[in-house]
Amino acid sequence: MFMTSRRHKQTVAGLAMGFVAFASATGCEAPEGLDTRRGALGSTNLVISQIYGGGGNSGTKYKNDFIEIFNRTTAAVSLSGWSVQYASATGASWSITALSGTIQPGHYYLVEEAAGTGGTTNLPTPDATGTISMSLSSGKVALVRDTTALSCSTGCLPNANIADFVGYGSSADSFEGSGPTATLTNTTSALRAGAGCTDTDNNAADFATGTVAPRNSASPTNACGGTGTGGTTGTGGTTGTGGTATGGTTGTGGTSTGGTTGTGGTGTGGTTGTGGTGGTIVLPSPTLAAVHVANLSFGVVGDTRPSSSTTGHYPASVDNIVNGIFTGLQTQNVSFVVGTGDYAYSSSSAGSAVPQYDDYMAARAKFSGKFLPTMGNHECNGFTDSNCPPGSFTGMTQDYVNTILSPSTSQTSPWFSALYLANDGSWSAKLVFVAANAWNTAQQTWLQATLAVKTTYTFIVRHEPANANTAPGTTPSENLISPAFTAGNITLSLTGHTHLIQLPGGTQPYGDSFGSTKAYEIIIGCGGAPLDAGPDYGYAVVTRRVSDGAIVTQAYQSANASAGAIVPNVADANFRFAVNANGSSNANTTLP
Amino acid sequence: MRSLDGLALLGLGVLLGGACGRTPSARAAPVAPAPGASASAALAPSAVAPTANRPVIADPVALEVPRVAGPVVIDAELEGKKIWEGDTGTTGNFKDSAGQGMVPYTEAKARWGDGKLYLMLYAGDLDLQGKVRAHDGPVERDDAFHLEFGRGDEVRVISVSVLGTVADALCRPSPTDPTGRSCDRSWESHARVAVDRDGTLNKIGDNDEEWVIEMAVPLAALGFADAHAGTRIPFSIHRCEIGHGSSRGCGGWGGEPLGELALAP
Repeated sequence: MFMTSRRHKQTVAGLAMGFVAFASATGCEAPEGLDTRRGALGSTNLVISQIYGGGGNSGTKYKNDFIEIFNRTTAAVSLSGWSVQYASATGASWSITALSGTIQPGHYYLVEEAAGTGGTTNLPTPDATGTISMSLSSGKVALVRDTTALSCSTGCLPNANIADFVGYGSSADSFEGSGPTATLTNTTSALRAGAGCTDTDNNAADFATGTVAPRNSASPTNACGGTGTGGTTGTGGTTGTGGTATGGTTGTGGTSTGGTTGTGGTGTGGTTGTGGTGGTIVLPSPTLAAVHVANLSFGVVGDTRPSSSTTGHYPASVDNIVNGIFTGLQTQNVSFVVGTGDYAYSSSSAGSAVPQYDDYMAARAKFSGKFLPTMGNHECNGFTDSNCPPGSFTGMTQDYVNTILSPSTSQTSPWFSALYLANDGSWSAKLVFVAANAWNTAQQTWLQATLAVKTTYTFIVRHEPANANTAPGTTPSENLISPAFTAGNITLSLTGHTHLIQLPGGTQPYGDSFGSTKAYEIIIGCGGAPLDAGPDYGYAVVTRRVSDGAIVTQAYQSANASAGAIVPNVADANFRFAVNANGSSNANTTLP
Repeated sequence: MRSLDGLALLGLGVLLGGACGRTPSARAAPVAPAPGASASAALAPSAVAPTANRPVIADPVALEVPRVAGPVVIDAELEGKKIWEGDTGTTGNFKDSAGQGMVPYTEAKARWGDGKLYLMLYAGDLDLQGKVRAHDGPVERDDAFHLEFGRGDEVRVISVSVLGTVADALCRPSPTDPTGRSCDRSWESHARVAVDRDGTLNKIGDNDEEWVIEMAVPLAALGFADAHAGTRIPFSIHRCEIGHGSSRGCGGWGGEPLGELALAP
């Protein structure tokens, strides 16, 4: 059963978990009224989700500074009598902006602050307006339950009246947790992870810097939802009683003979509880209709474009390789194939890439399942720059959308997600297709929100590896993906761009430090493009092992691709590895 | 005449295989023509007859060079340039010293017309490195192609780097020179060069992709002022990918077996 509204909503079979359960699993707390304050810090369900102090500076986009608030709960919260307050990084003089109104669950609330003489763009319609001139780089911001000015510099916490507190920039002398956020610039704001959902009371960990993206009460909402909660960890067993040493009898004038030392009993640990089953999974738009499958198994192929071309089709050599790859994938019993980008070598003129895109789609037709592509830098206008202007979908990019993306997915956004659900409701998987070469604020907001939705497995599909920061969206997206992996919310990142295959973490034998260095990232860029390393052309198959839920990745190659027509279906013994759902390594690499 | 440091080190004898670990006296059996060049192999001239007292020298392999209507705009912008389409006149991936395809992938395409030799050089490259901008500078320290035209008493050497920097020289045998030849840097090839880079220069580890050279060289400058269909120009080309300041992979075409450009009608 599918819904195809702007937001796709899919109920997992067997759902029995209430809001409280999944809110806990995702770090979101119970709604206002159930538990409004947490601990001495006074953290609450409303959080400061974004801070920007560069507004109105020379060369900036936005004319005003702003503070953004987010409601992480499922209940509305009144802001009447509340305030946001600001002090300099080491100051104790606090400026106040009074708040009003109500912030709905999953909604943002934008507080516009002072304007400067620069900037070109007004903020979205603010929900409250103040006149605080905030520091570009560092300062302190508090969300306060009343309108009495704070007076602290250091040691602002704990304070029961402070609902949330953020020290931003390295010089801030008060903050939650281990440290302040990173220092901000004219073009970066401090963004709370999970599009506002993440709150571990640690500014350094909860915030990343990124493209400025103000959100107001009319912005798309963000439900801190996800799958069910994990089961309760079992309690430890009772520690055994140490054995009693029985001492020998001390002889008279002789040697004392010790008795046998007793053996301490060992407690048996309790059984780890099983994870809860799913909640309602809502992936932000753009997302494809969810698909139910018995098990998860898909192919990965990337970088099929030749070394050069003009307006022509694939050279025969490349055409043979690409056809061989999809012929091979057809034998692998995978339900779909993802593409990691670069389907043509062309330049910037509209229509110039179409012959090669047509060649690709003709070869892709040898595989009967679905094909889900992500775009590469060669789907951009002007491959030399390795990027597309943000939001520009002309020329080759439009060719890509018209010829590959839309026929494959029936949608036109180069970034999107796909949700796969187990028939028995035992797992869920999202694939997040990042268009790093068409990066813009909208995509960043979407990615944040998508990563905040918990699924059993999360796969990132992006053309460039983390090191390839020539694409405008590589580093900004990585700033969101990397913390998500650290939090155990990323299973694997599938990339291409570099024309080789490479195991996670830059592990040999394929490639070296010039490829991936991330523990969660593999490169599958051996689809026919001029090879940088590795023995041959081919693809990979990613499969969920039913017995333990691990994800096993196996690369396949032709026996001798350079000899001509190929069908790469020889399992590469050097390229097989397994990871758990949370991205941790699994030593058992047995194929499913 | 003075020795050209960089180019002399890349002298013909070395270029034929030494840069990848072999020397001319240790020539192996002929390497099969690269994919895409197989049709051209039929143009190879008669073999040099081996004798019992000298090593076997493989027949030169000819690369058939299609004739195009010039002039060709040299801008490394391949959009709409049909002259570079097709597999004819293409070396295919260079071979390394073991006769295997070079890693990273590297190839050259050749065309001729309007009194010029046109070349399109493709270099897969994970990290573009190039700093030498001065004409006739030591480009061998950068990512660069090294081309040699002619054999024997006069060899015209042109090196062109990822920056588009050209170092060219006329080299002659010199028994007294450690490299076996001395090179006159005052010779000018008058090559016109354009480069298109897909990646960032001198930034290690950021996963670059490739660079492409498009160039035109007057045939007269190469000593073939009267070039016509059927003319054969002794030719070899070689490239080492430079990574972390040193060579990581080398390959070439026309070193073993010897190469020739065969100008087609």
